[in-house]
Amino acid sequence: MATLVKLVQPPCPKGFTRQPWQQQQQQQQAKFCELQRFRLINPMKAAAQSSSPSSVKVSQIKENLYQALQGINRGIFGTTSGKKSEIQELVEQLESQNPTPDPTLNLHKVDGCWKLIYSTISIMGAKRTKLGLRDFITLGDLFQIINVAESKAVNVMKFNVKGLNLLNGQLAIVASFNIDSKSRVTITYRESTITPDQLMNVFQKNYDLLLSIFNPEGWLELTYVDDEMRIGRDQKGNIFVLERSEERIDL
Amino acid sequence: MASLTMVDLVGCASTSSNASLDRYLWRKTLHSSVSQRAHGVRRSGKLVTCRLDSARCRSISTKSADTLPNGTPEVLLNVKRGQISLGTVFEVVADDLLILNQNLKSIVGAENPVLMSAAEQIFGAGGKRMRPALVFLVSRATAQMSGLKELTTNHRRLAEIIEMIHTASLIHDDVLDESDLRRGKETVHQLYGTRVAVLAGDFMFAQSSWYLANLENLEVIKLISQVIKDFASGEIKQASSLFDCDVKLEEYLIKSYYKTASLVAASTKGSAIFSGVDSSVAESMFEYGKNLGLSFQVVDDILDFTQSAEQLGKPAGSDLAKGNLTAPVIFALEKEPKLRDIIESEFVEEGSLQDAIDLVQRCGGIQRAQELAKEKAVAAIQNLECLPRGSFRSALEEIVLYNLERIE
Repeated sequence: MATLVKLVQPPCPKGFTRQPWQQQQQQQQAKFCELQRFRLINPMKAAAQSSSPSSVKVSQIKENLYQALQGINRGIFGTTSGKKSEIQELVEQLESQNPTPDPTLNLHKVDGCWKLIYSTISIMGAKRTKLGLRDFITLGDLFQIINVAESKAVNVMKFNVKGLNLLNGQLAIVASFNIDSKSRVTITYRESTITPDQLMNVFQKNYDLLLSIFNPEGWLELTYVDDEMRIGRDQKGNIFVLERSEERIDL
Repeated sequence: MASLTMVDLVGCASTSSNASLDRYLWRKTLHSSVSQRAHGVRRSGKLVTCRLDSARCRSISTKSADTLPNGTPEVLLNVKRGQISLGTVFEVVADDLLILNQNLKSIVGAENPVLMSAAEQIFGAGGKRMRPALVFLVSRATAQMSGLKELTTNHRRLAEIIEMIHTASLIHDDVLDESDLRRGKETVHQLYGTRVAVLAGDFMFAQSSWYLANLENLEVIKLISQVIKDFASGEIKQASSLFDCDVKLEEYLIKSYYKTASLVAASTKGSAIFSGVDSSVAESMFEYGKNLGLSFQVVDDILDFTQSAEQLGKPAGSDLAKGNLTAPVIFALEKEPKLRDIIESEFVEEGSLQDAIDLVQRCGGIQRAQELAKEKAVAAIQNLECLPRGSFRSALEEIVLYNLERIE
């Protein structure tokens, strides 16, 4: 089966290069895949293990999703309608296999750092030009750090400015959340900061525009939560797909 | 199709004061099947020999005055001409252009063999030399007014400076646009690498600044220095409004002025200044250059839509693909809101660029842009009214008409 072969060599999300220090992670992933293969070859033994057919199905969908996400830079700077539909379909498949239908009663599952791997929000056309995100500034990783103890969520957008001594910085938007239902929260904007100051100078003129794109205010439906991945849909109809991250962010 | 040459028409002009009206009639009655060649053009533009049907010529000049129509600019535009060939329009200043070519190669090549090859590449690449030709034509036309017998060294230097600045900007533009071909030949950076291209451009900007300073005319120095500043302003303006569907026609004209018309206007005004004519004449020459330059840029922008890829030497609609919204698009956006969505999507969808081009055509965007080009052309010809009638002024008119012919 082609998929078996693929499992042995896990898919590489764009921008992920295998550095020596990442080998441990690679080994862990390889181990995970080995385990999956073992389960598939020995279904009885697999059943005896804690995994169920649905978890195998989920990892398949996830693999398909990662494959579909290759090369589109999280979908933020323009994707064809064909690609959008493909990803939408995969997202819905995952949502139908949601192992945590009541995430707000299990908030420890969403606590911590997450990295955005796909979103339907888009920064194109005049907006993209005005924010300098064409040639001048690059949008780096986007993170969301959820602090359940303080009912706080911080969205962090990393930026690199070419030239200017390769200036690196971030926009951090702090928001608080309240529980609405077992799967829905309402997010309220609190404050935002750009660090360092030089980056603030660059965005000064179009700060409102920048905020309007990344402002998380409104409700958020948590439609899929497991140990590695989280999917949310917001009030504006946007989809967010995030994966667990070990990144250390300075706030 | 035969090419109608300015010089032939001049040769046919009678000695009466209605010379230009005779010329106008000559154009109207001449069928395109007649072909003619001019021989031995002297500096003043008078023909030595002419293979034209001189009998026909004489018959026209005897027509009575009241049947001759008015030679207003609009009427000039509507007359059906043969194809204008720039080469022959410039024949009145052909010697000047020859000297210019020699001087340019020696100025740029002198320093460094690599720069010399780069110079050969760019200066030998079949450029029209339109800007220096404009300098020479305006110089000679205005020299007549101030009683100057011969072009000064300043005039010649000005033409060289202008062509160097123009060429430097082209070399850098090709680097920025990552173009492989310019006028059918490989670009400097394609052949020699980006480093040489940037240095060659810088060298030419620097050299022209030095020569400019040595002209020791403060007005001209300020005029031309402004152009170099305007080039950069134009590029920045363009880059900061990519894909911006709210761009107004006014902003587009300003950007076009910075990028193209500024240099042309400075050349024509500078020539007038060195001829020592009245400042009002110099101002008219500035306006002529500006209107000609704007008309030129609008035509270029139209051609980007209407010409095929082979004709352009690059894919059609490349301005639009990059998000550079030009006159046809701006006009079309007023009529068709759907176009806005397609542009905002930056053409990610397969075939959406072609859809946008078709929309621009259907909404009459091209047509309105053509009217804009004509409007500027009419204004340019009107600016020439202060000049004495003659071969130089006619050549300046012909250049305006040649430009419009590109979109007919």
